Amino acid sequence: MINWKVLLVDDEKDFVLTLAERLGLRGIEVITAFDGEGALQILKNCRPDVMILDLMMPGMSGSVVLEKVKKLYPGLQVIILTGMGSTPEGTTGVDLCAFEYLSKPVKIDDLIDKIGRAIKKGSAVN
Amino acid sequence: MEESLFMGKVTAAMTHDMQNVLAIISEAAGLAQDLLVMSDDSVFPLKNRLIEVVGKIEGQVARGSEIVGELNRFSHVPDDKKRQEDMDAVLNQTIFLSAKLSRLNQVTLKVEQLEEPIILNYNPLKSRMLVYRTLEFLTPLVGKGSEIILKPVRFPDGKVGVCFKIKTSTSGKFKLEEIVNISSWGDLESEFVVEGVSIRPSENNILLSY
Repeated sequence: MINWKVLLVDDEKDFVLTLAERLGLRGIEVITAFDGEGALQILKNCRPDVMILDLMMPGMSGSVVLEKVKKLYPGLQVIILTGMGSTPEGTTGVDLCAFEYLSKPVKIDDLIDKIGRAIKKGSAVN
Repeated sequence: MEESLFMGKVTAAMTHDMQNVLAIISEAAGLAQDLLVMSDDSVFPLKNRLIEVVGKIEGQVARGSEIVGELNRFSHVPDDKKRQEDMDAVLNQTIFLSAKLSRLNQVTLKVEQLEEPIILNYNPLKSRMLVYRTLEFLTPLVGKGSEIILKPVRFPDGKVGVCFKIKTSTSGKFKLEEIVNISSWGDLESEFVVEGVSIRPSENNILLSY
């Protein structure tokens, strides 16, 4: 049992639910949100170890969510996981404050490795 | 909005959606594999065969994702018409985009790496188009099993270009000196003149100069 808590935010419900189940099978607790507003609402009452965030979502975009999260919860590490193919440099400076930028589809072991590293960094910051 | 920008913008948006589709397939296949691995052999006698099948799905997702990723990068090419680019990047991307030409004609395409980068100052979409057009002309001619090696070059007049080095297979009947007698060569030359570039055979190579 790994005892990590991850907030997974993406508007692609099938993606979120399937990935959440796979992470769950590996002992990781996953809280899900399907938009930015929902994610910020969850963060008011719950503190995950890491947030996995899509960039292109209807309503509040991932980059706006990231900006708000970094202001409100500076210690929370955010991993961007997106289908946008452009480089991190092309995404309005997202790379400057996100822990990592990953492109979909991602291998589960790579994602878990990044989550672990993000948690390590978060513990050092907090 | 200019046509190429429109095409690029729409393609970029569609490739983003395609990556999401591939990600869902990948996660669903991964979940199926997780569940199979956890299951008892007596419940699933074909467990290993199914794991193998899921592995094939994942392999094709990875292939699709690479293609879609490259298509996404290509869709952003028209964004900046005055971009200075490393020729190496131009050639590598064009070769990737020419994979179908290469496969259909059974010709291998390679880029020769240079130690010092050669920078091209030319319309990025047109630079790729001209390399692609040259490959479209050459690949059916050179013969099965041949190799075309693309090398960035700087000519004595300071212009930048590409050298297409042709290594014909033993069974190939291609003779570079006869290329000028092919009627479509004249069409290609004229097409390139309109774009303000030149193409010419030289010894065992074809030289494209921007």
